Amino acid sequence: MFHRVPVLACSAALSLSPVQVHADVFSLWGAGATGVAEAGARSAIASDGTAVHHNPAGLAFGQGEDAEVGMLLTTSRLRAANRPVDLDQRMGIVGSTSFSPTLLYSLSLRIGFLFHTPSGAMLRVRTREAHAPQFPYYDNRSQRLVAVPGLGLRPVRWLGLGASLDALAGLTGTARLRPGPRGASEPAVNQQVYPSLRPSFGFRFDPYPRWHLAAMYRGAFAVNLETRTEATVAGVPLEAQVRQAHALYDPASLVLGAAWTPTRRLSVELDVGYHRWSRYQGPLLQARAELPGVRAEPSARLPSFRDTTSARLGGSTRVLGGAHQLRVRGGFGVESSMLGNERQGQTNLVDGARLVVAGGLSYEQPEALLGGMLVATLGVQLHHLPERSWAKVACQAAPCPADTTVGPEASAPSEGITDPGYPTLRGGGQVLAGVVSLGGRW
Amino acid sequence: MRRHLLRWVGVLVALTPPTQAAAPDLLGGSPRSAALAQADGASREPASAALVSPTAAASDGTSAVVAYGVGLPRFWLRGVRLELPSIRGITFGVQAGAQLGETRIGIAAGGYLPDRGLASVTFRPASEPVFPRYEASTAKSTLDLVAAIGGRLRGAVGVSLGAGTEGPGVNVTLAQDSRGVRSDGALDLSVTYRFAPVLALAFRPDDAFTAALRLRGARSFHTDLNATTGVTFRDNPLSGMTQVRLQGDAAYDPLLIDLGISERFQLPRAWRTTLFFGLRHEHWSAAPSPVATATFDLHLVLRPFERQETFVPPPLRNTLSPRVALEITSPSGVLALRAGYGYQPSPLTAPQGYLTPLLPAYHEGTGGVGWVIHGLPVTLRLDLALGLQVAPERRARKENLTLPWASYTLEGVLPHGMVGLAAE
Repeated sequence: MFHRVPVLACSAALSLSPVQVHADVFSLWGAGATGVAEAGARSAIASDGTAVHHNPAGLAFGQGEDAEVGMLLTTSRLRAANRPVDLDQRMGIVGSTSFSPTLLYSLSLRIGFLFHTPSGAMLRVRTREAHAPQFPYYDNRSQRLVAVPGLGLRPVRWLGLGASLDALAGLTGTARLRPGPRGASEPAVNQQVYPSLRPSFGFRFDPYPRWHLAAMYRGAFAVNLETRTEATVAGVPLEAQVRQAHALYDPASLVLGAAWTPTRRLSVELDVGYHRWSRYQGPLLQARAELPGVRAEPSARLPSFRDTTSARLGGSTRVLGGAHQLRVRGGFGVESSMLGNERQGQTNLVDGARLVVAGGLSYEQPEALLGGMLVATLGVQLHHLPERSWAKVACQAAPCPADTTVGPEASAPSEGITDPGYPTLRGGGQVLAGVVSLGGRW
Repeated sequence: MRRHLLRWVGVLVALTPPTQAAAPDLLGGSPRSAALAQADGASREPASAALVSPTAAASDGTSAVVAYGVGLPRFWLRGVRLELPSIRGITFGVQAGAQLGETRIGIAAGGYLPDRGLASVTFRPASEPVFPRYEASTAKSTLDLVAAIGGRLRGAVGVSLGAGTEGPGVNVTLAQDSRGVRSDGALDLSVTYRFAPVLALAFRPDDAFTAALRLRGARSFHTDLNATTGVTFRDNPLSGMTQVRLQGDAAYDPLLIDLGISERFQLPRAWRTTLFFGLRHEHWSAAPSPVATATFDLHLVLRPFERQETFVPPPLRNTLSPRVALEITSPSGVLALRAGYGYQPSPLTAPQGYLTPLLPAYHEGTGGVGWVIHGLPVTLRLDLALGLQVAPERRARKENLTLPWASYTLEGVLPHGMVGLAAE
């Protein structure tokens, strides 16, 4: 039969549900150099273009126009199973702007726009094999083009409402590879790319001139790739499925923030967040395949994921005034781990409670850039994951439980194990991001 | 084995991202341009500068245009009506400019969003007829960005944004361990940036005459991906490593060079008219194959029969398309009447070879009206355009009559319309 592999008819019916990308670099680090420098704690105070991410309601509290563009650099020293785990996208361009459309002045409405263009590619989707040591919190979260418009409306002096819209594309279509009149394979493709939109909402409430409160909801976001294949080989119908439900995943998040600005020189903000990682279906590509007489199923069982909570404290103070102003920024945060202590079998997923330390400087010079204020900002943020370990257990006899690791021989499953996380999976390290930006306010 | 390869080919294809668009090339980059049969390469309208006349971006103030267009291709091949999708989508443009002394500067963006989604990527089987102009090319999103500067002599540079797909692709392993047969997979796919340059020059010696030149590079959605399958079953003849490479350029738009000249005349009773003349060069001779190629690299214990073939496209020639149009404006400037004519030759030489790309020559007649609405905070103009492309019957016959579609007749029409609103 294998000699008759020339396919009489083979069709791949592809059903890819809409790509709903919210996973972006801003969810990891905050938006703009100021967001990075203040540990992302800006939901109640951001009113420039970066408010599109932190809280679009803040746009309504902005004045004039602003724009900035900067370079984002990231590097990691993550290790798992005694080997370094590299992350994607080490460089990208970030930028933001906000303004009030002339026609809409009377509505107290402002528009913002935020973008990130990773170097090298608009988007990179990378899923690792099940046994590969990996950090799902960081994988596939920063390597896509982001272009998010936002809108802020201020119906009354003390209240702002806002929304932003993140968009990418979903895919659906068919692919066939079938022999033509000459017997040679002829690919045929008909694929549709659909837009997919994911809104976020926020509001900001200023009960007193120096107190600012905020709430922000960001929807969950994932790329769902599901491929169903229908093939007829030598008259025999065959089926197969490949699926990754949650590539580029970002959880639904609720952030509550409170900021205090006792003077124009000082601001302090505390943001607490709840991130629904328990809905995450994992980073693995699920491949089900069938050969004559053999059915291959993915055997890796993923550990369950937990919701996380975070607290981030950020602030800034102006240390120099006058024609050359200097503002010092800083922040600190903690976030619980998406992974519990559940024992893993074939997988080697690593995550831990992270400590966030951030800092930065802003230099401001009035009337130095096209009549407006020149703003140059440097922001640095460090995520530290203390080393964490999970014991792994070898299967002693078949049938092997899903939370055990196995060797190649069914008669002696505890022998010849090549699992890189066996007998103890350890992982931790640091991830560092820095942004330097240049912009202006008019 | 091969059916597994096909699955991964399917995965790769499914991950193919959006592409660029050609609907504005076919029907016009704005309602005004559509009504003028795209003879308005020397247009001074800033709102549609990015798609029509990039140097017009160097104009004072801000402007925008949004329009909805429909095209209904009706073609008959061997007398049988072809099922071609309708062309429906939104065309948009925005521009902002300022005056710095004697010089004007400006930026503009323009694009197209088809109804059916962001893009349609189509590769037909090599043995079937292919419609490069009317299928995927008209169902792609586009975004062009330009910056312009100048006074009497103006220049513009920009890019037409696009995408491509590449990367190691899909890697699937089928293996056995103590739990039995298992499958595992990894994916590494990148959607890369692709840019086509946009360059333009214009000469405006006075308020009446304009000569303009626009070049936009070729665009396509390039796919180059691998699918690797490793099977490590013991004592199984399918064990080994196989690789499929899928390559192709979907939705190809050739390099364009638009030469436009316009002259405004005063008519009796204060009516004004503007004559437009345009020549469009389309560089089809550099077009890639319209079909995808799948190549196999098999390292198996048992080598199945496999036949591969590279399908060479027939040679195409460059085309030069003349266009002429007229716009008459009422004394108050409220009403504008437009009409145009163009002829697009076919880039096909004598049909030959295995592939059958269908690129008919056509005549195009267009008309339209613009109505300016005053009394609002901004000046609005409502535009309507209607047009008809007529492809006369073409009889083709390949030398080798055993080839697919060795002889055929092709004819058709493409009625189209666009309605839009421009603001300044």
